[in-house]
Amino acid sequence: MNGVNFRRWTLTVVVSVISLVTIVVCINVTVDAYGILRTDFSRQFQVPNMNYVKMKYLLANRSKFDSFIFGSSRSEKIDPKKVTDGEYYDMTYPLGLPEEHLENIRFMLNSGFRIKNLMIGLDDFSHRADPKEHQANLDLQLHPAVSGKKLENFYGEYFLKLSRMFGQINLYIRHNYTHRNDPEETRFIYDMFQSGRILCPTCDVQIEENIEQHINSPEFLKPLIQVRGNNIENVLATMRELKDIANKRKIHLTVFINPSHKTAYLDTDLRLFTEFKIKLAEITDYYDFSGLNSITTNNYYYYETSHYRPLVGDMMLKVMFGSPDVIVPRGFGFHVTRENVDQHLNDQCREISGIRVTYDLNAANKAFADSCDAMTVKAAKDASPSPDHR
Amino acid sequence: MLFNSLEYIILFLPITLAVYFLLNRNKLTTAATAWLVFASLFFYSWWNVKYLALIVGSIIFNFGVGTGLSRMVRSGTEERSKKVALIIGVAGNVLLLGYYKYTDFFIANLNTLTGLQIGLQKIVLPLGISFFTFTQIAYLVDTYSGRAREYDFLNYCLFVTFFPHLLAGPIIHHKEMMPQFASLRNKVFSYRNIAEALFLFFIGLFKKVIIADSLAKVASAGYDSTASLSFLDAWITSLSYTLQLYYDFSAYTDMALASSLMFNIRLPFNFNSPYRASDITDFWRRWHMTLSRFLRDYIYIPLGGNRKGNFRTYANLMATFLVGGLWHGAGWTFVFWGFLHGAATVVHRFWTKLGIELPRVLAWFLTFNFVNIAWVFFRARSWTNALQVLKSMFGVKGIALSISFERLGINFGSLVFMHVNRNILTVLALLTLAAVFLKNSNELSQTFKPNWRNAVVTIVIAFYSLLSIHNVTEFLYFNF
Repeated sequence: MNGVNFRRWTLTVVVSVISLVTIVVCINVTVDAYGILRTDFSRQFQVPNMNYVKMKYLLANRSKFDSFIFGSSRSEKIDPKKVTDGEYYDMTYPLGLPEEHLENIRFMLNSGFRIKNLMIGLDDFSHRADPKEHQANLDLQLHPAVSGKKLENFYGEYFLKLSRMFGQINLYIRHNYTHRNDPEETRFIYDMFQSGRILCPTCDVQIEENIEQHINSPEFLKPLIQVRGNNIENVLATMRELKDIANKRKIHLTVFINPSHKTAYLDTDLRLFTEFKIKLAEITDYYDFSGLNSITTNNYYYYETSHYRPLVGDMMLKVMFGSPDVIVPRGFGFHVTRENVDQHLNDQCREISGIRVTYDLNAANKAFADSCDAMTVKAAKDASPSPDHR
Repeated sequence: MLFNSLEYIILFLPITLAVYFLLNRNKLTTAATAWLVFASLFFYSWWNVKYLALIVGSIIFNFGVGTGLSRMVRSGTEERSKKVALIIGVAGNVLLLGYYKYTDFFIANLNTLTGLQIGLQKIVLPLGISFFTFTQIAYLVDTYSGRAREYDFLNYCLFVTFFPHLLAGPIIHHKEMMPQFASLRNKVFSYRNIAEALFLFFIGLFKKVIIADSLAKVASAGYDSTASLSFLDAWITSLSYTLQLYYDFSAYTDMALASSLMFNIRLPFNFNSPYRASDITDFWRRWHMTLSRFLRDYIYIPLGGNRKGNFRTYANLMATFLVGGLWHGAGWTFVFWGFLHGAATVVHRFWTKLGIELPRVLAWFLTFNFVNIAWVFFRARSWTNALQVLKSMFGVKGIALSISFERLGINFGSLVFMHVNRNILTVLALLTLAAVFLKNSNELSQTFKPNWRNAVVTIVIAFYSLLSIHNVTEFLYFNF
C-alpha cells in the first residue's frame, strides 16, 4: 500500500469504516437499552425512554384510553386503574416536566386523541428544571413525532453512539445470560402495554418484611435528586395554556403537587416553591400533598427520598376523587384555591418555622423560616430572592 | 441537505456518484450532466422545495442576459449597449439578493430615521442565495469583458448548481469550472481522486462535528448571557467563536472540495490557515479566499483599486470592506465589522509605507487579537451584546476569573480530550496552536499518499465523526 495503490487504500478505508459503524449499530440495536425498537419489555434491563415508548404505544392504540396521568416518576405511583371515571393510562416519565406534558397533550389532541380527564402531577423541581436539557438526553427526550426531530437524527442518536454502549452491553449480558435467573434482575415489571407503569411488587414486600431496617436506612438522610434553577414563569405560562386547553376542550383537569419526602422538601428552595404555589393558585385549583405532614415525615411511605410508595398514591386518589377506600391521615392533601392559598401557605410556613429547632435547615430555608416568623407568606414572596436563584 | 448528514453521506453522495460515472462509462455524457444538475437541484430542494423556482428563475434570467452579452461581444456591438445589458443583469441579481436579504434591514432603518412604523416582512433568506448570486454576477461581468462565454443551458445550469459549491461556496469563476466539466478525462472514475477526497472529506467532517460543534456550545452559552460574563468568560466566549467559525467554515470547504473532487472537479481553495496571518492583508489572502477574490475583482478594482492615488485607494479599500460586511449580514454590526477590517487594512497599508517592520510574533499577536475582537461584532446579536462582551474582555467589569460554563451545562463532545471542560482554556490554546502550526487540510490533501498511516487516521476520524453526526447542525456560513 505504500504510495501507489489508491484503489486498495480507498477500499480499505470504505470497508473498514462501514464495518466499524455497522458493528456499533448492530450492538446498539441488539441491546436497545432505551427500548426504542422493543415490543416486549419482559427482559428490559434499564428504565427505557418512557416518554418515547409510551407515546409510541398510545399512537398505536389511540382509542384505548381517554384519560391520562402526566407527571414525573413520582406520579407513577398512582394506580391509573383505581381511578374510576375514565380509562386511564399512566403517561408519566422520569423527571417529567409541565412543558413536556403540554407538548405531548397538544400533539395528542392534534392527532385525534379524545381526552376526557387529565391529571397533572407537579413536583418540587417542576418549576426549576430546564426542559431543554431533557431533549439532549437519550433517557428523557420526547417522541420525534412530538418534538419534530428528524427521524434519522432521532434513531442516529440511539444507534450510532459509543457513549454508555459498553456499560449497557455489560448490563444486557448480565440480565439476559449470566444472571438471567437472579430475582434482582427481574424485580421491575415494565407494564408499558397495560397501565403504563413500572411496578416493583418485591420492593414493597421487602419493606414490609423489615420495616425497621427500611425506615432507619441512611438513604433517607440525603435527597436523591437536586435540581437548581428558576423556571417559574415558563412553567406558569405552560400551566395557563394547559388550563385553557382543558377549558376549551372540556377536559376535566386535576392538578396536584406530589408529597415530597421531608429531606427532599427541606432541601429545595422553599421561598421559590411558595412563590410557585401562590402563582399557580391564580391559574388553577390544585391539590397540595407537599409540606411536613404525617406521610412526608415518615420513611415508611417512601422507597427513598424521591419516590413515595403506591399506598401513598392510593391515599392521594382518595383525597382527590373519594376512592379507593383507604384511610387518609388528617392533614395529608389540601385543595388549594385562589381564595385559600394564603392561609394554606401560612400554615406551611409555620411548619418550617417550627422544624428549625430540630432540623438543620440550609441557609436559604433558614432565611425563609425567619421570614415566616415575621411576615405573611405574601410578604415573604416579595422579599429578596434567595442566593441560588438564577 | 447538509454535508454532515447521514442522508448525504450514506445515500445522496454515493448514488449521485455511481449514476454519474455509470452514465459517463456508457458514453451518455449529456445525460450524466443532466443527472448532476438534477441531483444538485434535488440537493438544494431538500432544504425547502419552495425555493427551487427561485434558483431556476435566477439561472434562466442570468443565462438569458449572459447569452445576449456573449452575442454582443462576438458581434462587436457598441460598448453602451453591452453596458446596459450588464447593468440590467447585475441589477437583477442585486435586487433579488436585496429583496431577500436586506428588505427588513431597510425597513427597520427607515422606521428609525422617519419614525414610521412599517411592519417588518420577516422574509426567510433562501439558502445559498448570496453565493449563487455572486457566482452569477461574476459570470455576467466575465462575459461582458469577454473572459467567459456559454451557450449551452445545461452546462450553465451545472456551473451554477453543482451541489458541492451551491450553498456556501467557494465562489467560483466560469472559466475555472467549465473546462473541467468539459474534459473527457474527468468523466472517468478515478480512485486517486476518490482516495484524496475521502481523506479530505473526513478531515472536514471531524473538524465540523467534533471540534466546531463542541466550540459552538461554549460560544453560544457565552453570547446568550453577555450581561453576566466575567473577564475570563468573555475571552473564552470570543475565542471559542473565533475558532468555531474557522473550524466550521473551513470544514464545510473541505467537504465541498472533497465532494467535488470525487467527480474529478477541483474547486478553488477557500482557506489557507488564516490564523497564521501576521497582518490583516495577509489574513484576507488566507480567509474565505474566493470571496476576497470576488470583492477584489468586482468591487475594489472597478472602483479604481490603487491606481488613483493614496486617498482613493484607502477609500476603495474601505468601500470594499463595507460591502463585504454587508454581504455577510443585514445589520449594522456586520457593517461595523467590515469597517473595522477596512480600517485595519488602511492602517496596515499606511504602516507598510513607513517601512517599519514589527517582530513577527508581535505582528501575529496583534493580527490574531484584532480579528478575534472584530468577530465579536460579527457574532453578537446586537450592539449592546457586542459591547457587553468587549467590556468584559477588557476588564471594564473587573477581572474576576470565574468559569461559569459548567453551570450553564456546557460539555464537550465524545472524544476523550474533549471531556476536560474544566480545562477549556487548554483546549482553546491547543486548537489555536493547531490552526496556526499544523498543516491545513489543503496542504494535507495536496501531499496525500495512500499509506497505512493515512488509512488508519482516516478510519479513526471517520468512525468518530460518523458516531457524532446525529446532532446535525447547520454550517455557520449558511446564514450569510
